[in-house]
Amino acid sequence: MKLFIKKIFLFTIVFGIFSVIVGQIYLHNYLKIVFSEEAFRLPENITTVFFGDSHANTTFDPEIIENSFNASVESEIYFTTYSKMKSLLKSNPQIKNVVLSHGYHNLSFAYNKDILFSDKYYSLFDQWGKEIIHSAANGQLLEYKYGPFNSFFSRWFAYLEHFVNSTFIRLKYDVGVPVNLTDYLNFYVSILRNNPKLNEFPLYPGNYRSDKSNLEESLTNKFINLHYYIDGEVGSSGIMIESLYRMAETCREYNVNFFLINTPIHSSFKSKIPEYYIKLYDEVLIDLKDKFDNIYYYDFSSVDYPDSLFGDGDHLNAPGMERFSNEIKDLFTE
Amino acid sequence: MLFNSIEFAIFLPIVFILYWFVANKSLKLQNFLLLGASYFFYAFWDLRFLFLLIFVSVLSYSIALIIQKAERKEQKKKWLITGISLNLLVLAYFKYFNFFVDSFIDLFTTLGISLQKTTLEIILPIGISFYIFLSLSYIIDVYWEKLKAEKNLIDVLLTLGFFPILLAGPIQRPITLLPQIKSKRIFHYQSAVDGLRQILWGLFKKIVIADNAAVQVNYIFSNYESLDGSMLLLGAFYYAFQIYGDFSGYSDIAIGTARLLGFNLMQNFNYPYFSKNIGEFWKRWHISLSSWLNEYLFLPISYSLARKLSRRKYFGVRADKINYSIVITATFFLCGLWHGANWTFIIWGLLYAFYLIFALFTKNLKNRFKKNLRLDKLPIVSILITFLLTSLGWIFFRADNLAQAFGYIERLFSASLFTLPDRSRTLYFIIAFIIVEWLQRKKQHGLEIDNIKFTALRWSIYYLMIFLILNFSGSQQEFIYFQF
Repeated sequence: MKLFIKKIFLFTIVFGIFSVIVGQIYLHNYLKIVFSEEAFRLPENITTVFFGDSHANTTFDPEIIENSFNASVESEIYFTTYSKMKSLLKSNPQIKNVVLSHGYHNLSFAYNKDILFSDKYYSLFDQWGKEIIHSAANGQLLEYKYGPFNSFFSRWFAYLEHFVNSTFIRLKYDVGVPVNLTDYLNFYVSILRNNPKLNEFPLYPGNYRSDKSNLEESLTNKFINLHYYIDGEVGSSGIMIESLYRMAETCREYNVNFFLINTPIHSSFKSKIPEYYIKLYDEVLIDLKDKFDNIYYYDFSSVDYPDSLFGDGDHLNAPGMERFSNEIKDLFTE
Repeated sequence: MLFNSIEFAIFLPIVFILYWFVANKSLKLQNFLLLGASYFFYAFWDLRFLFLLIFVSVLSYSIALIIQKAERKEQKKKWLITGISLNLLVLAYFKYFNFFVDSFIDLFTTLGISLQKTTLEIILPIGISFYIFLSLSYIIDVYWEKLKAEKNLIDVLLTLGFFPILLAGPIQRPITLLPQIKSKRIFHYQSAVDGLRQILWGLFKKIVIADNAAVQVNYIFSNYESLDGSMLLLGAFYYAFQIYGDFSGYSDIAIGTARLLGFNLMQNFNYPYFSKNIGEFWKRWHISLSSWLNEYLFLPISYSLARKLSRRKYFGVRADKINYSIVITATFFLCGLWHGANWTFIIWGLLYAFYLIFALFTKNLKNRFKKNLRLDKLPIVSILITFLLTSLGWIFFRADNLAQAFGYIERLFSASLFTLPDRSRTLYFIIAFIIVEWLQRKKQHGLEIDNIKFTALRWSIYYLMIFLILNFSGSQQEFIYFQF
């Protein structure tokens, strides 16, 4: 038994040292390149940048809207978008308009669970962001992630799990343990090919284009549940709301117009959005407009498009994106 | 709790340390600790269903004791039937209730009679098929007097709820597990080290092979209507390795974990895709289930039917062939149904029955054919044919419904089968995996490398495996066999 424990210990130590050395080399180079100011520098002619999640990704076509760039990523939460936006604005003084897809779901507490998954942007986070992601003691955040705690035990296990995850993040980024090197490796391959493209960065995957249309009720229900409910409950995310205010503040700092656009959704989908979120959305919007004079809001959520232009109840498909982009292409120059 | 989760990575070392350092003075304490750990492991998924597991275990414990105490054979038989029925009732209620209701409604609708649908929202308790089978074999073995009914309740609860095998097997029958639970355990260095290697290999199979293949499979099966036949063939190939990596990976982790705790479990997979015929495939695939079905279903029905078939031939066919055909069909029908309450699983099972019956009736023809073409000297041909036949079966296993399965097969066998499919990183992983498995096919598992005497080389291989697991993991998926 002693020999076994000794060997395990030795194996772990060797692995730890090896991991830290290799990880540091990778991490240092990767972060230096991927999150450098140059990496955020867009072509000089780009004056409008789209941010958000799949809604922005399937709605705004930079090939149609002149001098624009779509920096949205599927499932990206406001918490991450805020840090990304700040870095892009810092590196691109030519940007005049920031456009954020702002749907009813974006302030939902159902997205708090994704905060830990945004850790690959860790290097972009400011102090507030880092505090959130390390907030192992933040009971409220944990409850959003795990749903209401039904026992003393589950609460403490959630704390433990969160603590472990948080430690992993520290090990990855502060110490350099190579977890999820795939991103780094893909990027190195693109450098070896001497052809690193913007869409190879994890930050900008490019638009999602599909001609398919699926408005089945089961799919709609699935997305409604995913976006708006945890165990049948509704609720808001303080972190996402705070991120939205911070984005508005950042845009004001850089003297940029901040467009909030409620992208087209199908009427069958909209009718199922809980009233709670529509009320919350309106309240936040009124307050935002009161506080910031650089905000422009457009609501296209009730736009009357044929079914064939929707990828699903919640998103446009490629023909839908084409039509919508053509219709709004002058909005940001007016 | 998933084996491929952080929770398990914390749970196992804690159990290991308590087991060997705190509870090692007393066998009772060790068993008590294991039982507590097992129930914690199960309750981690859903506390409510822990009570069902305890109920089934206590039921089997009591009935086994009653069977043993009963003096007359009729009494024993009566209690055996009671025990089997109660176990099957639990299984039928939680697993098959909605399936039977739906199937009856469909049948009546086909006959033009409309029925009100009253299915219930029944959650399938994880691992139920596995522990019910353990429970059944315990009662039956006591009835057959192969095993003495155990008086110590803790030992029976642990036999039926031992955490490494609780959720997805191997179905380690009480006849081999109970004696181990009752014996003092000694820590064997080599066995523990190889257990760790087996866990690592299982994690590799699950996380790198199965989870990556799952991404491809999900895409191909969701979009099969618009993909080429060659891509669909590749999809079936990916699924064959997804389910193999998933399930055999689980078994490896389970066996490795048990070895760390001083237990020896049966080998559940013996490189099944290197089988040269379907019969051999079933001797190498999910061995614990196939041997269970053989012992408790196939052989008893077969003997019973053989006694009833008085003539040597029926309609010109030998009675033993008829016997085999009937029993193998029944066995594989139940095997399919065991896997899930869906017609896709039943057709999957019946397809194997068809393969085996066809092989029986064409045995002479096949032998002549092999002899003429000298295929005996080319086992790779038989291996490939067997693999293709099993892959065809997996299409039914994976499909959401029969319409999807038949649609998939129809499109697979189209002219587009002869185009070049898109290849992915996963394909290269699988090819490398097949090569390693082929080289290691005489070993218990793919990472049994104790023959490499150079420690630095062995350790480098372990580090490489850890690197691959950490960096090429697919999105975390539950083990497929949990649903069974």
